[in-house]
Amino acid sequence: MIGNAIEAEGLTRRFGRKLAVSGLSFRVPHGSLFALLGPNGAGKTTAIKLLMNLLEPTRGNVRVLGTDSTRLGPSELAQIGYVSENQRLPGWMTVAELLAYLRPLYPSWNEAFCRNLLGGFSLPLNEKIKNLSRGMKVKAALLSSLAYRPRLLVLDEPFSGLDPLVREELIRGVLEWAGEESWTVLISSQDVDEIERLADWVAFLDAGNLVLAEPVAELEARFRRVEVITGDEAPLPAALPAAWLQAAKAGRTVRFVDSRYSPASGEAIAAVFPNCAVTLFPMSLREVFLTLARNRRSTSPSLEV
Amino acid sequence: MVRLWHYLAKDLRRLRLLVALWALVVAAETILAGSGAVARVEDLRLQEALQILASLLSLLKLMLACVIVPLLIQEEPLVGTEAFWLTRPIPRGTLLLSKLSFVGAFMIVPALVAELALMATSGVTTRHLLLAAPEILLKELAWFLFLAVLASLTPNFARFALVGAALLAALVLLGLTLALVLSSEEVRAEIPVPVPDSSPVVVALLLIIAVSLWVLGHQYRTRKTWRSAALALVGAFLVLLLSDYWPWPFLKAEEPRLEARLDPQAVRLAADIGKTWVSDMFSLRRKRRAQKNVAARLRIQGLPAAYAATPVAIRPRLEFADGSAAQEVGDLLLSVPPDVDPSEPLEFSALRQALGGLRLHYDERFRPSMWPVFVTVDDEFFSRHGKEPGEYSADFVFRVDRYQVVCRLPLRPGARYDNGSEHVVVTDVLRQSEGCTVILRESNVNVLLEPRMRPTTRYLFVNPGANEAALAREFPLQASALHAGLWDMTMEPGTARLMIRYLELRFPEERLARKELPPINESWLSQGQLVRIDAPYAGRFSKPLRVPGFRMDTR
Repeated sequence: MIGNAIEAEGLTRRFGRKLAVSGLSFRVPHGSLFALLGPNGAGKTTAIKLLMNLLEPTRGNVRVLGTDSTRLGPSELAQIGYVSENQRLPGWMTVAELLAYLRPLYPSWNEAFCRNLLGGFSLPLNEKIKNLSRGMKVKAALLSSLAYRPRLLVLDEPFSGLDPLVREELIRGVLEWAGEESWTVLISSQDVDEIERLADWVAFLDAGNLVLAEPVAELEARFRRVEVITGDEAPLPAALPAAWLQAAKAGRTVRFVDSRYSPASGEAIAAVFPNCAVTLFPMSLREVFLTLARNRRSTSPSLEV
Repeated sequence: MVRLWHYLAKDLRRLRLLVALWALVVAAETILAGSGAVARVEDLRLQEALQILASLLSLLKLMLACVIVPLLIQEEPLVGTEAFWLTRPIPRGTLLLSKLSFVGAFMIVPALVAELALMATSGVTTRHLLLAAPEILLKELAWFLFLAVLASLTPNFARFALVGAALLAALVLLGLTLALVLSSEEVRAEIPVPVPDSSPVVVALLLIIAVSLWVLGHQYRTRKTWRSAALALVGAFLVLLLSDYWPWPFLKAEEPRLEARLDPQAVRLAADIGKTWVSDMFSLRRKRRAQKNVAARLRIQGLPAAYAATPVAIRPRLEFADGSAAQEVGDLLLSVPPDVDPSEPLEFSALRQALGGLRLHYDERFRPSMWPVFVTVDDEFFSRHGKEPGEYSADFVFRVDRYQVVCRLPLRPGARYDNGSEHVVVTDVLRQSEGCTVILRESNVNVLLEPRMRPTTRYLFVNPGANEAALAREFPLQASALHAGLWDMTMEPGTARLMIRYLELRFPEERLARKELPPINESWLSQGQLVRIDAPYAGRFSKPLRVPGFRMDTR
């Protein structure tokens, strides 16, 4: 499907004096696996609550599956799956009762798929949800959000606090189903390693601001760690290109991250450091994330890369 | 409709035990109220236990409502962002409708059916049943919607309980403060004739329902809790304002006009100023100045037989030679001991006359002698002018009650009096060596949509052969009533649609038996009857009084 599943424009939410998210603008293409990254308190959960109509924006708007988030109704919600670490499931119900309650609410409920998932999750059907372990509760939430094959799956840090085995199992599962069903998945996390395997799009939030939002492949292509061996130990020039982040010199070695790498970058480096040996290293998503986070703490938070 | 039932069935599955308990409590309360078990059992301990059980059932019913409604509403909480249902395709309007249907079907209908069944088995007429049904519905609906609003504005049961308790405490404090301020400032110079008017209560109930539905609709639609709470507060203010200042008495009982045979011109007032009765005026708040009530005996002559007049307003003026004057009355009536006023009170004369002039026996200790307060003055004014004769004039406003025999029942169990929805049954007659005790079951309706003035009621043992009557002392044994929500206890305390009460009538009371009273023995009782006399309000009139040479202090 062509187009965007989510389109945010200037999305802002204020809680009293605190600006939780400020002017977020991004698009989540249909069929993509979009990761929302950011440290604790970055505004990831607030952004997701805004697009799920759990909160109303103070300013700006977000369209989800073509509908303004504040107007999301039963027909739109029937196409959206939402799992959050904070979501409270009805603990008094058994898993079977939960499924029986939800089944009539979704026209697209697929019983065979549900049974398939149920088998894969090894969920005890007759156990009350309140008595399930945290991992089992997440599985129950996932099951109840997947069984109707949602067009859009929104996952708000669903795997945090789970043991590695369960995480692995669920991540693999989400990857598998998303691929098979061509779902659009928006997942928020602070675990970059986890996301690296999942996402094909990534957005980075920090202190309520969107630092970047682009395809992972493009991101990985435009970030390079650069090492330059200079002939002397003179200090770094005062004016370096803005795209060079975290520049530092140790002895004769200058290190920085080029956030706008292109084949022409070599000329720009040679212009600043003529006749020097230059080595470029590709960067993992985790390295990019850490660089951006450190850069935001050491420079103006409004700087966009 | 299918969806609505789907949500409702889910809630019923969750709350089935509480709903079953609710039905059980409603049934038990109804059976206990209707059976009169408390009054019937002879074992005093069992009687006490049953009485406690009846009170506990009423309390349990209130508490269950306060538990079931928040659990029902907060199963899909409207406050917060973490509820599971918020991201599910559940139409909010249908959800609200399912919650209201649940309350209606499983909470209100059982209470309505139970009360109507109790009324029907207690001999209430179809007309009164039809009038009672909307009243019960209105009150139950207003109560449950109030709870639902509170539940919809709070995220969980703990917060619901805290906010509810805070609201209750605030209301009690406000009520007490207002009562203290008003009672301390009030000049009680007039007792209004209590003509019941249901219109403010009906308006308040309708407003509570409308405001609650409005707030619930707003909260379910928008989940803007602070705005919904503000709407609720505005609504509460409107309810208080309109119920207090409602201008159109569309449900007011008709106040009877003064009967034609009561001619105020023929009534003569005479004050016994030889002996006054002076007492300090009591006030809840420490007053800046101490005051004294000065009362005197007032003879009212010229009333037709079996009528009694009681002052309900006095506008006095007491003027002295130096030009100083007092023109205030604080308390309206003062009780004086029989040795100060040995004469027969007007009420007893009216009772005797209603019985055709029989000799009336009563225990002197319980004979009320009420003197009107002629004037209320400052202590300093009293000490300055107490002994000095002054020129007294006043306008007295009287209410008149007509005493009439309503029924004569033989002194045997099973004797009964039926008048529409009102029933009196003698359930037991215990004859003692020098007296008699009768147990009565009285049931009557008090319907909001048909307000009426209630007469004072007196029971007497009468022996027409001996030309004697003995005034019975009444001891309430048990009063049962079913309450719809909290309103029967707050808006109109002590009232309910069907009031069943058991009375013990004694004459004489053993520990106070006086030798001068005639023996009410077996032979007296064999010809005896139990007579009920009602004294309905018969109108009011005013009369001026002038007393030259009035001395406040006659000691």
